[in-house]
Amino acid sequence: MTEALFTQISTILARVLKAKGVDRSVFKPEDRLYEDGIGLDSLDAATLAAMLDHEFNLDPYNSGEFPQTVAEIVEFYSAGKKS
Amino acid sequence: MISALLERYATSLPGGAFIIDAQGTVTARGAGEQLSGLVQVLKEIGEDGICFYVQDSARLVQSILATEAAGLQCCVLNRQSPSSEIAAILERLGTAALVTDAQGTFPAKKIVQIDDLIHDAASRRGSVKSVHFKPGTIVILTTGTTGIPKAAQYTWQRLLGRIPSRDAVQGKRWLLAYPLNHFAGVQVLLTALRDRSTLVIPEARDFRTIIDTLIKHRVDSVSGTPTFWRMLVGRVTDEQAERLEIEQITLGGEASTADLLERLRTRFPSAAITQVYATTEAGTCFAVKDAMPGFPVSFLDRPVGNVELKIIDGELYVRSSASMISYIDGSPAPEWIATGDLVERTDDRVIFRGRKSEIINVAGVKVHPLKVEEIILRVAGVSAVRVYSAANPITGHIVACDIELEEGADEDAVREMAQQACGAALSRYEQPRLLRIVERLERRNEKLVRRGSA
Repeated sequence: MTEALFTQISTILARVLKAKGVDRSVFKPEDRLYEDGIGLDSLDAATLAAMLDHEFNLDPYNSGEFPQTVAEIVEFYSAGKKS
Repeated sequence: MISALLERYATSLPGGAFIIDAQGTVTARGAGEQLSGLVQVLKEIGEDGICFYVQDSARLVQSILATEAAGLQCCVLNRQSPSSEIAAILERLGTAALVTDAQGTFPAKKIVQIDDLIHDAASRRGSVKSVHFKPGTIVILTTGTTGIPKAAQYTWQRLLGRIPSRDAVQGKRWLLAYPLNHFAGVQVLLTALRDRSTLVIPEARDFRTIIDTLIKHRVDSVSGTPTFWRMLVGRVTDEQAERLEIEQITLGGEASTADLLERLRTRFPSAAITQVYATTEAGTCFAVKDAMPGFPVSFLDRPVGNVELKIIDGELYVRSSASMISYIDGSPAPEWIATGDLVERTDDRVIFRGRKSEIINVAGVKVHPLKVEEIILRVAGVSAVRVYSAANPITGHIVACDIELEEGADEDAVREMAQQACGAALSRYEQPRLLRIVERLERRNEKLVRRGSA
């Protein structure tokens, strides 16, 4: 897992949370994304997908995957799936 | 008629669990016994009709059913809407009575807390031997988010008329995934009642709670939007999937995509998949059970039940004997209802291509771009803005916006202020999920080019 990519994903997650009024910028790779972790609901996940797509021209959700943790997003891109 | 269904349920399956919510289980007999008391109290509260602004719960379901038996008009308001919006809707509907679980002031002559309603009704239970079964009506508001949703009035008979009769089916467990202010939520309630089944109301709408509820109460039938199903399929683990007992998957409110239908088939291989096409005004129009996107071309050639379909200039029109009886302002339902859905006829299929208007469908909720633009245009430093629909793998579409800055404006500051303004004035569905700062918005004849999506 590259640190730069992890930082980039963390920044996007922080922006998603900020849009719903949550101030958080520090994440761990093992953090779970949804109600049992960071707290994303369907609208937040939609935002995350849009921001990832905007940043990388590809997002895991549009590729048939449904990441459960921060690490899974990072792995999606570090596995060479990003354009 | 609705109350007669409850009576039939209570007689044939008195111990049958009719409603399960966070407070416990209400049997068919228990619901039936409460009915006469509720009818009496509701009649005293509202002669013209009653609005409910209450969290989805067994007591709300029982109260709704009692309005029908009381011969009253009933309207369930979106409990997620802010009280200011509720006030505007109440004034427009002109309903004098409001039953609520919220604190605050509302423009209604009579405001009753639902706790008091239930308590008062319980004290009168059985004090009247016969209930006056004059039929009531229900008003269902469209999910449009302009603040002035259209109000479609239905008889309960019409709503029931489009639910296929399945006498052999009983004892199903339906999850209430739609709220009760939504057309589809009422349909799920009526289906559970008519089939002498159980309505399971989740304590919350997050997916951890939803999945726990599905497992705990052994839910076998679920109706939800494609957005709901994408999240459920994405969230459920292999271990949880093995414990789920879903036999019936119903989708509606948005167009289903081929990839979602395939994922549902893979995850729930033994479940029947039904796509329902319905609108608040036209009611339930048809169902497709082949788990393919769109509907068969043959539906255009012959009536589907009591519904006829036609395409004019790429837009789907519906004529139905089960549509609303009128708008609440008294204007009648048009004979052919323009659905606003753009469709394309292929060899043997009619495929949904989007909406005719600029309305954005976010997870089944309609968002009007102009309303969002008005909010953002008030932000200092914004020169022009275009709000549009962007395709999204979770919610089908999201609200996106491009902002053109005034000269010298700080990009980060404008972005933050725009988000704050939208967060303060708009529902979560309406808030832009993608906000881009652009050099210049495209104009034609000095008008912003509004069509197109990301």
